Amino acid sequence: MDGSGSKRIRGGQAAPVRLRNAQVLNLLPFLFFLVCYAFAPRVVNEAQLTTIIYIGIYVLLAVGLNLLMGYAGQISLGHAAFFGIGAYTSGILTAKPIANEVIPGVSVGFAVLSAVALFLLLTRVSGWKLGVGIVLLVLLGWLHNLSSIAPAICAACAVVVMGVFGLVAKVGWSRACVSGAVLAILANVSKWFLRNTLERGGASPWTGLLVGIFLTAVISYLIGSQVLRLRGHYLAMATLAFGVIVEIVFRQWTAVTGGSSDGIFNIPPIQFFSCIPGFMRRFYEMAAGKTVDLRTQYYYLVWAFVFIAIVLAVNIVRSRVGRAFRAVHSSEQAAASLGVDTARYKVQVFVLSACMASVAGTLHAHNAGIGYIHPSEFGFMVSVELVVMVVLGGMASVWGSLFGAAAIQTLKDTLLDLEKTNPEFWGLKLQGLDPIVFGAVLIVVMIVLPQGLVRGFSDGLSALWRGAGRIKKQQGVG
Amino acid sequence: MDLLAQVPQLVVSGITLGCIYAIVAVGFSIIYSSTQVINFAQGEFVMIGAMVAAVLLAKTSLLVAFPAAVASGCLAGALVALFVLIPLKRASVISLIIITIGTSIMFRGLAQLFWGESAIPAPPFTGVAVQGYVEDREFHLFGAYIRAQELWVIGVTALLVVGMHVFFRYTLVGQAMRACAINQLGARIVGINARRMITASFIMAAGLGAVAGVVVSPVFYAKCNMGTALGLGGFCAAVLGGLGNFAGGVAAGIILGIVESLTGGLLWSDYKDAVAFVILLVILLIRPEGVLRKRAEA
Amino acid sequence: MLVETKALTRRFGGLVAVDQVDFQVRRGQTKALIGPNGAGKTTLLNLVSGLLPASSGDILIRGRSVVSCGPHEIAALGLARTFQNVQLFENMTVKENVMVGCHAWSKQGIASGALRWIGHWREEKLIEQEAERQLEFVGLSDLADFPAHSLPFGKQRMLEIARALASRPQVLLLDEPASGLSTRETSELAELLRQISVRGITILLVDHDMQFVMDISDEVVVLDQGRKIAEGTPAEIQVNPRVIAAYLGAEAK
Repeated sequence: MDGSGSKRIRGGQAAPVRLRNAQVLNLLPFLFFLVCYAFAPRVVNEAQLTTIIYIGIYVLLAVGLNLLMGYAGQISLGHAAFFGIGAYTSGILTAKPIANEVIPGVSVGFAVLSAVALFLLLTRVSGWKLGVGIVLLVLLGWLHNLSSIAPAICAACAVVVMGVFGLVAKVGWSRACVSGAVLAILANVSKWFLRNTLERGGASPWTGLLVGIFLTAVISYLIGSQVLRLRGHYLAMATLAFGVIVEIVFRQWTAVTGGSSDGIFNIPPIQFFSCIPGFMRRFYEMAAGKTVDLRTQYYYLVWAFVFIAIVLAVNIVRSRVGRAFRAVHSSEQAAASLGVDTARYKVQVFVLSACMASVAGTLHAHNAGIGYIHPSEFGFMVSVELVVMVVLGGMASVWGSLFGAAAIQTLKDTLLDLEKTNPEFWGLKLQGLDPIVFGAVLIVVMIVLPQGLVRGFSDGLSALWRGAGRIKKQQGVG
Repeated sequence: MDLLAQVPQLVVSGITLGCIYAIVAVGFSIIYSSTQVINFAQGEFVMIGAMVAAVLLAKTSLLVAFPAAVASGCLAGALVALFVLIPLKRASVISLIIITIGTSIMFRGLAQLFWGESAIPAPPFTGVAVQGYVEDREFHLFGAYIRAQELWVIGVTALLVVGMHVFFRYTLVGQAMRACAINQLGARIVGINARRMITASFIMAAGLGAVAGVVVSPVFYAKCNMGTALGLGGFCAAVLGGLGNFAGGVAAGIILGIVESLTGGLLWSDYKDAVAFVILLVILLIRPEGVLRKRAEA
Repeated sequence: MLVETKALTRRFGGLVAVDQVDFQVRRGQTKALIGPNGAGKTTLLNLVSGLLPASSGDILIRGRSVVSCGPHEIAALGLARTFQNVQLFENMTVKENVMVGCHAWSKQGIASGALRWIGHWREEKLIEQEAERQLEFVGLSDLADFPAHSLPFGKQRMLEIARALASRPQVLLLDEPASGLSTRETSELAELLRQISVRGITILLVDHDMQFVMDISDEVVVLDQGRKIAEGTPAEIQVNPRVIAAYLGAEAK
């Protein structure tokens, strides 16, 4: 479906397979998908619908991670962190607004992060200049936290100091000024926004979604622009470390995140149907064949996002930028020598994939009838699970991710059901089987079917097909 | 003042932790230098050693538990080499990472299955029995209490490091492994069996990790998820000291342990679990060129 | 001058791979870099294309100093290259490989591709046409939809050249284009390079095959142990005593 056409079979090169390029054939899976999407609630029961919602959330994550891992060839072992940032941002804003005494700190922190990201984006500096810039921005942010100084003076200070620094360090005074100004503006805006949210007792989930995406984009840009200079094992370790740090923050920053004992609960569901025009609502009701309850609504919402994500992903993969991603995967040197700004594209795909994870996080937090998040849902094991999904479905295969996520989620449910029956094996209580099974899946897939189940099967089928064709031909000749 | 009084104690526990990091770092280096693989399951070998020792120490004596734990560590290493790495052909860096992670979580899951999720305390090697449970001897030095077990950790680490040095410098097998690292094809031409070398290096690294696990189990308690943090700390030390450089890795491990213990104890006690990871991230970001120079060919 | 180096030097540790090399490539000419093994030819090519940073000295492309530019910026100035060990994008089809070559002059960003804006379609059409044109030029059009790694080696070389041409370069750098090719393939390559030259594209190449080099190049630069020891027309080079000594010396070792 992605048209990348890497057709290798283990133990040697396959005979070259001419790849179809018919547009109509590429639309078929989408049509099939839409039909299933619309009519699924007719045929499944309540519990299955819940599972399908979860599958949708993980498909979003897996598709995003596949863009990064399968297409651009950059591994991330901390992707659950972005999932968590999306979930927590939205959960906090809607259900557990930040308390008054932490508001200044949080808003300044947010402003500093954004300003640093902007500074980096505009000036593309590195080394000591970057270090000094960050220190300055942090100090200026701290200035905003002193209540004795008027905001206007702080803002003026920020702009002037950054401007002077820009002149001295020769990174462009105007650009440095802009990042100073953004620091001041964001610090005040977010302070006002958070106070407002607290007064009203929570923001709307859509606001949560957008803020989550923005925050994730900022953080993933900051991390990605630095970390993606590393390769292979080092990149894996760095993203792993990042993921674990974020999880520890979720656990320990009790004033904001509720910590690991409570988590955040009572997160309101997203009222999808009150936001769409009447004819769509009628269409959905017709498709579902009943009045659409909250859970079914949520199902339609999640899978609408999944559909959009898959369309976007497929489009990107088959565009100029997508080809650049794949080129970076294959040979960075060759890509760069053809004019591909490898560093930039790597960061781009990283941010994109993080933002998709963030959307998934928001959807996870607002899940109808559950509305509860806990740090353990965003830990290292979840990151590994995501990798398993991508690997199982097949790297560099968008539809494969759909399959991988569905398979793993189903497997998880099956294991959970199995564990509920308290099975015993030679006197050993079989509990907590997930890691064993996932580990085994990773190992077996990597050894036996390195191109994933979907690719593996389609390769196998096409080999059979060709084999049959050849036999026919020989018989015809003979 | 109160904080400063803690410093010696923190340094002592830092050195203990650092010794484990050092051993894990040496394990990373051994595997990396003979196979160019970073083994994400390295920390799990420590966990296996610690778990087996803790479980056995409760029932039998050290003389049984120690060899049994090390043997099970070595067995785990051999299994990884034989059933995971050798069958993996055409290995790209990404698939090596994924497959060693798969191994790592599988070991963790198995440990959890067999021995449960809770921490298992182990009695110290040379303790005094007090009312049914064994209490460690303590020494008082420069304002810090040093437990006998911590001396064990330090002593065993020193012994292992010297042993490794002698092995790689002066024995034929060790030299063969180094040759394999420098040039696999060349090594094969002169008749060194690369496959056997991979297995040997995994067994050795796993055995080392298991020893570390055994000596440290009375200090930290054995827990099925202790591997990740120790593995990452060890990796951090290995990178700091230069992959393949044993002495550097050991020094870096001990420094890292002390720094982690001090920052965790004095500055951010809430976030002390994150310190090792922050250090790792900072090192990878600040010295990427130093790190990259020694990276495996992608 | 299209490409010019001034006292270009590159050190690897203690080894000086390229030592104070000055040379110029004029617009429209075909220039060859030759020299015994380890003379620093590939290093020089990597320096010019920006894959390696220079230790000292300067590189000018169309009069602009590019010594601190990344490879993609240099590519944007109209320089394309091929590699000694062919570096194709193996996970893509032949045509897609050439389409990546169009990256240097196309502009659509990620949002345009994701949302299929009008600019995407327009540009995609141009890119596809260009790719088909270049494939036809090197004679690979009937293999366009095959995965790149399935081609035989000689065709992979051609594909790499087509990919470089798709970036509409002003100067084409070829790193040992004839190595690993059969005699027939080499003569086909020579013919192709002549056609490229007729199109007005400047060529700078490195190769070991003397016959091939002398056949197609207008000017030859000889490197030995990182230094430039001679420069001139093929006829001049063939009788230059220093060149002969360098080659004989290298062979005597």
